[in-house]
Amino acid sequence: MDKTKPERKSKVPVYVAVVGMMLGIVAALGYVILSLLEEVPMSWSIFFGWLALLAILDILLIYLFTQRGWEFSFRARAVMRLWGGITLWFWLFAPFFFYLGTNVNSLQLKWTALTFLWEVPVLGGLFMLVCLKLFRPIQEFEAKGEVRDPNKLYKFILRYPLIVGIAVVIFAVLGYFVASWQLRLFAFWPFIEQIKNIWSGTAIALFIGFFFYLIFDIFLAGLRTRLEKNYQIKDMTPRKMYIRIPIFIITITLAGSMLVGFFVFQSFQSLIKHSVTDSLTEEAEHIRLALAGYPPSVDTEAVLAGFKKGERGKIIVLNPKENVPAEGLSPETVKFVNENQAGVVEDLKNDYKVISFFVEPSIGKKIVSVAWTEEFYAPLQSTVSFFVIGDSLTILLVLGIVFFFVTLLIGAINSFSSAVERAEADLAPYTFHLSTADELEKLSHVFSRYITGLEEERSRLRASVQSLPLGFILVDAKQNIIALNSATKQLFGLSADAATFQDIARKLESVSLFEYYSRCLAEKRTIELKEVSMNGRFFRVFFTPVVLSRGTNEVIGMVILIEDITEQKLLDRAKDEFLSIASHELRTPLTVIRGNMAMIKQFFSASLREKKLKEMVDDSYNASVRLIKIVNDFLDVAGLEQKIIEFKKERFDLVELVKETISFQETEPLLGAKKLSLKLNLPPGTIPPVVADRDKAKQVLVNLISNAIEHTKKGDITLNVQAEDRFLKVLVSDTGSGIAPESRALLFRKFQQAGKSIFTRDVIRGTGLGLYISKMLIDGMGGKIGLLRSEVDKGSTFYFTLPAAL
Amino acid sequence: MIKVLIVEDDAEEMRLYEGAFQLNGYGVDKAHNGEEALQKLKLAEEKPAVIVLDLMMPNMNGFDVLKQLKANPELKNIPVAVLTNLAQSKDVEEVFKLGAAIHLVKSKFDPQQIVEKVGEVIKINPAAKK
Repeated sequence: MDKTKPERKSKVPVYVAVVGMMLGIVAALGYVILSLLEEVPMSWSIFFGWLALLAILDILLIYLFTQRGWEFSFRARAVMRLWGGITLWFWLFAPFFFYLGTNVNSLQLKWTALTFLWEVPVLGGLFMLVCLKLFRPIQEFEAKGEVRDPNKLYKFILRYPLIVGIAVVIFAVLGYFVASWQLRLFAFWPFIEQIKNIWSGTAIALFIGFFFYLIFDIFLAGLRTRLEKNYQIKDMTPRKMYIRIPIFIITITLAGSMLVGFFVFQSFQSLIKHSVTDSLTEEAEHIRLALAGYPPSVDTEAVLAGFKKGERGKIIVLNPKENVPAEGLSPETVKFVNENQAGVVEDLKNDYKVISFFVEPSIGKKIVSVAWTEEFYAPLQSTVSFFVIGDSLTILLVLGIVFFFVTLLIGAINSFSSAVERAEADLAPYTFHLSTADELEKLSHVFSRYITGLEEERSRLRASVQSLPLGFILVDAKQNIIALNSATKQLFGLSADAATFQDIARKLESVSLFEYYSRCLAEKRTIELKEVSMNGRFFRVFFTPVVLSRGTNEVIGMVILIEDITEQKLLDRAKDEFLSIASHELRTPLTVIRGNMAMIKQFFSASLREKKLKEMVDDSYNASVRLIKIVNDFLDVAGLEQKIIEFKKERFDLVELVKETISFQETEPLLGAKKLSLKLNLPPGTIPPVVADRDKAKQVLVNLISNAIEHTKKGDITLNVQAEDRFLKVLVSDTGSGIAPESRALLFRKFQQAGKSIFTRDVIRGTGLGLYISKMLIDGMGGKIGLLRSEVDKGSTFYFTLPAAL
Repeated sequence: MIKVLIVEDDAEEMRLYEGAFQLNGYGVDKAHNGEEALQKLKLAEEKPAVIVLDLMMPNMNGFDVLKQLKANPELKNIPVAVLTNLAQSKDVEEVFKLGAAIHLVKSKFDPQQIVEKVGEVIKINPAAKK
């Protein structure tokens, strides 16, 4: 209720209602005092009328307050609970019990009204002061959210409702005592009524005490939870159901049977009153007959002495116009007897009496017979005994049944919690079964099913983690190791099950584990260490934060994954070495062949007079050049595909590179006998440098130019350099054979040439790797390569881009 | 006559480049491995104008020879032309870092081209002119 904050509401109506309430109390008190001064009448209806007014004002106040509870302090909310509890009981329920269960005359009614009106604010106020004084530590915690001794406060919050409950019982009983003595002293209330009142008051006090206990327990439950959370108080369950529930039941049953006893006594009183009245009426007939048999001179008093009722019973003979003696009788009784010829009346001054009177015509005198009802209570003894025995048996029976059910319930709850505890400690069986065939058994089924499912899931997860070929370590937010699989134990050579985070950190000494732990948790992202060495082996390590997917995205720990990459590294090294060795071993003999052929051609051409021999030498030379190119292409592909070839990031002038590449010196061997012109078009203005690997860029350019030359019989090879967005673009256009549309898709694939089928080799002999290598090289430098346009027999334009230096 | 020291373990290649340099009028001194090369250089009265150095050789490879040459005050001024089939960029970078004057890939050039390029190195390097 206090957590959601709806729109703000004014507190004023509550203050108005408080003032209204006070005015109501003052007005009612004023009226009652006036009635005591005989200025205004008083009756049960008037009394209830005033109480109804107060109750309405009270309900209005409570209603207005509950509508605005969140506007008021915690203390004010406690005050309203106390006040509401007291007033609703003492202005609504208690007067009804009083009306139904006790006997009063008009004076006593006025004093009763006075008592109800002054005791509720005064004694209620005192009670509230006591409760608020004790409330202070709770209130302080509510305001500040902190406390020096949380455990002590927790126990006090648990105890506080009980204190309020007991206090209310004490104050209520005290109130009934005071009220009874007040009526006795000022309105001559019979002792028996006084006892009855205290008796019923105690029963009511027990009810209201229980009521207060519950209200305050609920009221403070939220605060208890807050305390538990703020201070992480765990396992605070000092209450025992098997004590609390029977105490509740005993309190309620006891109070209930006290009230029942109270009403039984009241009806017994009424019964006695009627039987006494009846016997007095019958007695009047006997008196009349007896007097008729005596002469008038006979002492009437003496005759009538035999007819008096009980020990204290009296028979008063009144002469005409003589008033009944007022002593011991209430004024209304006196008035009634004096003003009527005959009648029966009950009198409540000092004692509960029944008075029967009539005028005896034979002697012309009024005969008044007074009987003390208390003298006829003897049969009550057995009734009380029966009631007490019966009631005690009932209470015992109820208690027994309650114990039975509570035990059943506690048994169920205990099997429940021990099953959870077993699951926590990983000890089978996780399930339990109850045979109550009701909701409890259903609960045991549902729970068993749930926990079995959970357990299966846990086993599966654990098995997956255990069977991972990677080292897996789960660490919580406090650096405790939660899980660690067998691969980790092997990697770290851990023998004991209980490895700590510190152990792992010590083993992985080349890595600052604690630093990565904090970084991973703080940055909420995976950190990867590509290579960590330990005991001569190499590992890849991942630190991954464990983030709760639901709610707050809280990081609850970290997973460390460790992959042994030693084998992979050895393999990489072997590949690397293979490539170096292969390059060397393949190229060396080829170099010798090519070199010697070249030398023969250059220095010994005179010796090659035989035309056939010259041809053979030329062919051998050309074949060796081609073979070297093929070997170089294969090695390039292998190196690029295995990502062994590294790319430098140099800043260089692309235009200068293009100029260098198309220089006569460089293109002469490519052109051979072909008469093609090479042109370069540059845009106006300065062209920024590029960032790439110069040698590799040149390799691509040479490849495109030599392709263009190879496929062009006559015409031009034109190069264009353009700046484009953040790239520089080089276009190589030729006037050659062009590429058919159906062949274009295969251009940059491995071993592809723009031929019609794989069996129809291009007339130009090559490996079909040139463009594939170029593409990988350009990709590696962050650029793009492609065919811009092509037309069969008219020529093609290829382009590539490289990132410009910013 | 300008003198060249060729350090090459492969006999066929040695003959090839020896011939090429001789046909172009150079005086050729030969070493078949790294140790021999260093030995010869230390003892030689007339130091060669250039050292043509292979990289992949048994026992002491070209990188180590280069390191020792550059560490020796008497020899460090002789330009070194690395002539090899190791063409990966990290190898090329390494030889330049160690002080080579030029890196030539055997398979890319005819012997005549190599002689010409080595000749350029001698022309540029003032210490080698003597």
